[in-house]
Amino acid sequence: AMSYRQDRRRPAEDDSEVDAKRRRAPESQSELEKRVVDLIMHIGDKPGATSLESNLEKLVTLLEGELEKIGGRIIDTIMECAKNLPDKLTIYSTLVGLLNAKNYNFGGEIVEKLVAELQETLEKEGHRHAVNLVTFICDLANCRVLSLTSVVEFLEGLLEAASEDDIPQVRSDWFIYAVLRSLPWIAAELKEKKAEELENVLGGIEQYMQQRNRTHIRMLQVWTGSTHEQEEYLDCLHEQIKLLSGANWQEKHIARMYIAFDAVLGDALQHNLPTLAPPVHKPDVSAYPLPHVVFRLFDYADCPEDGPVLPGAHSIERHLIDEELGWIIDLNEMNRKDCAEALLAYTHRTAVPLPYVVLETIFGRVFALPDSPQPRIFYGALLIELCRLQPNTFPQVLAQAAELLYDRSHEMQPVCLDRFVDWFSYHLSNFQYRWSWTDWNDCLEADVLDNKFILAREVLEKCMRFSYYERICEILPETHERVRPAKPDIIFPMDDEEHPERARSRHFHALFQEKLSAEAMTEELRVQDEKGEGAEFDAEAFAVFFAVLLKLAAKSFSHNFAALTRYHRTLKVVVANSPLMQQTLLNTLYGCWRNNAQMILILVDKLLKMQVLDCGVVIDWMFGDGKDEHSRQWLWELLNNSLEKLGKHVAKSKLDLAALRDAKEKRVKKEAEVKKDEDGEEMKEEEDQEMDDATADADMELMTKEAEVAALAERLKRIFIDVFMKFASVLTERVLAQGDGAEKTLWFTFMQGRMRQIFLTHESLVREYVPTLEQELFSRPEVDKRAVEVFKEFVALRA
Amino acid sequence: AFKGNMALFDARARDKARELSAYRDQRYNGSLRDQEMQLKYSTTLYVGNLSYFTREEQVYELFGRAGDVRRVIMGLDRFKKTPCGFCFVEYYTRDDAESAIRCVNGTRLDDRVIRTDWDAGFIEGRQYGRGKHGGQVRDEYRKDFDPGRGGWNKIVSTRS
Repeated sequence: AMSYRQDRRRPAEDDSEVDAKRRRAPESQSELEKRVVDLIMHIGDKPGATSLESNLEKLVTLLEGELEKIGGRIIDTIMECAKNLPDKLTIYSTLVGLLNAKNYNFGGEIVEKLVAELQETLEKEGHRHAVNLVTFICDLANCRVLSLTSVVEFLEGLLEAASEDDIPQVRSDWFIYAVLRSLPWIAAELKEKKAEELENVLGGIEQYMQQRNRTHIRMLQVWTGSTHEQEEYLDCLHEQIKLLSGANWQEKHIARMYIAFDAVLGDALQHNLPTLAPPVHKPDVSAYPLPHVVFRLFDYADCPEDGPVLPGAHSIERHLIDEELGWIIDLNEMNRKDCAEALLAYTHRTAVPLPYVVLETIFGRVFALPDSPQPRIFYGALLIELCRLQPNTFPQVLAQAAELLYDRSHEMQPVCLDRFVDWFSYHLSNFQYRWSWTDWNDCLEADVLDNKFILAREVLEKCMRFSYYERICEILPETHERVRPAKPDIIFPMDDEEHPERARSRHFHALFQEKLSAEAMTEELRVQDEKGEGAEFDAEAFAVFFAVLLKLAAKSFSHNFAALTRYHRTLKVVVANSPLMQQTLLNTLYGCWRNNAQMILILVDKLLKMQVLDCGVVIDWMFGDGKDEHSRQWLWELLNNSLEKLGKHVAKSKLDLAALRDAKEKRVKKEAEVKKDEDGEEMKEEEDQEMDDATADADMELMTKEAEVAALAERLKRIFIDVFMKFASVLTERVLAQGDGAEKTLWFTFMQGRMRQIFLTHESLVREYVPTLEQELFSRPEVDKRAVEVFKEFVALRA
Repeated sequence: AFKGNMALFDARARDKARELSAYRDQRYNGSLRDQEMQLKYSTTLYVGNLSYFTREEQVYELFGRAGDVRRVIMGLDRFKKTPCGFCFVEYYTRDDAESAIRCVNGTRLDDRVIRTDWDAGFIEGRQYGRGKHGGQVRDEYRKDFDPGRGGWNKIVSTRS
């Protein structure tokens, strides 16, 4: 009879999967792989009953037995973790050390694959991942997997690559960065056993840093000016390393797991590192990471006294924290909830004033130049999520940050100020616009071009867009009338009995009520001139027509779109080919809606899409006289949106062209095959003719498209050059008119900033125009040198 | 290079924007599979839990932060033709729409937490509420008092 106890036996309730389990059936290879990958990925994640050392030991015991079956998968997983989880790097290097101690050959396999992986990562331009691999390789010397000598050679090889001739600074920078960034892990060991070699490495870096060009820095700074200068990233890291060196390489951040295993690792045999051959520089590909500026908002005095201390700006800890938090954001950029949770679960969360460093990292990305790594709305939503998860800490620190940003707004670059406005209005719209507006009272006395005034006014206007005018009146104290937005209603003076165009406006009003067709309306606008001289259409009549249209459609955007669609043909015929008419339209639009920037932006956007307005004309109008709006954010939004729109249109056309080319290639291949298949037999004449016709048609289509795309791309280029010419002339004229000191005025700094914005916002397009810009504009002696400066800053970005 | 179907560190693995909710339009003209296919490639979002007072312009501002909005169609009470608390937002690209699902869904508009969901695409007629009283079905039965959506549910408020 069956044992009673056997029947009742339940599966073992194990607490750790790493323990050998009794199983009902043998685990398949893929199940084993999955389990192993999981264990490797998550080791060290949650503090549990068992220590990390103990978990590592158990993991090694498990893996040791499976090296033959799934060794490749194990190595791949470890490498992926090393590439993506910099805050856990030492856990994985220790893991490799322990595996190497148990199995020398396996250790050798890992080493070989590591260098190959680094090679491939660099070929594929995965520079950020490659840096983590470089550091990982260095740390393997700490774990006795690699000989210290070969790591020294490795570092020297990287320095050599940096000193190659005829390579752009952005390339050599990467090698220096990789070395600098790895030193905190390995330098202490080097100092002990390879002191002279370490000195040489540091000396080489020092030399490099001294000859390095810094022209690009100003373009990337959030605040331009001496009070809140931000350091360029490589300068900052260099200072941090020098400070660390002075402290004998002692730091408190890196958890050196291998120390606990010193005895085991000390007995292991070491490998030599195969030589890395850095990929050859390809001149066309601007694939190296752009430089950036280190964003700092807080210092230790801003943080609570009774909490952990914020590491100093030149401490290596500050650098490592910022980097590690950045990786967490990147790995969770598609899910704001996961991202917030992961940030709050940061490995070093108890050792640092967490809200402060997290906010600094996030704001650093909001203000990152040329552009943020993620869509900026993601950061806004992430901050709201963090406030939700930690309602007792984050909101207060966030308020502190906003205060600081307001206080320091004086020298903020316009493009960054815009982003602050966008973020802050969005954030307030989620918190009932609760803000101590009375604290922001110095903006009431400030100059119109003072950033504090601009900030307050633009934030309130955007808050109004999220809500409505009366709501803003509710939340804003009466003292702050100066920054209150205007009531966003339409301006329509022709309702006044005395207005000279009143009769005409009533006439068009009636025509609209009758639902006159677009064709008939077009005729209404035609000039009553039998001689056929002069303009075909009456600009004054058009202005009235358009104003009445806007008045009747004023209720909502949808009403406007319906009206524009209904009279699309009228607009196309009367306006589309006439810059004068387009200017008239824009002036009319502005006249009616100048208190509602949102409406102007939406309508111009629509009219550009409908191809009633031309991008070049919009830009001319924008720079033209008669509006006192240059300090307003919407004007520059208009400019940059129009440029972006045209850029997207060109990009889309290029994609369509590429698709046509692909199709042609396929056709040619197919034709060749078909003709081959015939085996010498002649194709039926009919079929042959059909095929030729189809080919001719397609070729025609391709040629037409090619011409179209070339013309579009050329037009885009000329528009950009025109924009820069306008900036250059506006700045130059101001200096000529006002003489010395003109360049120090708020107006001048502001305009220079807006010029920088064009370069930064459209970086990928503009960089292709650099030679032409140099030749046609910025090499001309009459151009003011400060305008040329901005151009040179831009060129230096990728030099 | 890491092979296999587990993209270990791909941020997309945590992306929920492509998931479909349980809702399917019962009046959709086509098979369930057709509808799901359209949802998969849609660039149109349904937005729910709006206040009756929220205007198109406010929707543009918020959703415009996620990308270029092609148009907004406000949901209307089918008798009164006034807003009844939902709308459709059409983007030009799928990417922008996904961005909105990731970043706007679950945040506030007019101080109300709004919800976004994929929509198979606007067709004339779909802007009208399908509740018995002309608004949305959910307003027929809800239990709470919501001043932004006419107070009590329609059954209660039309009784008195």
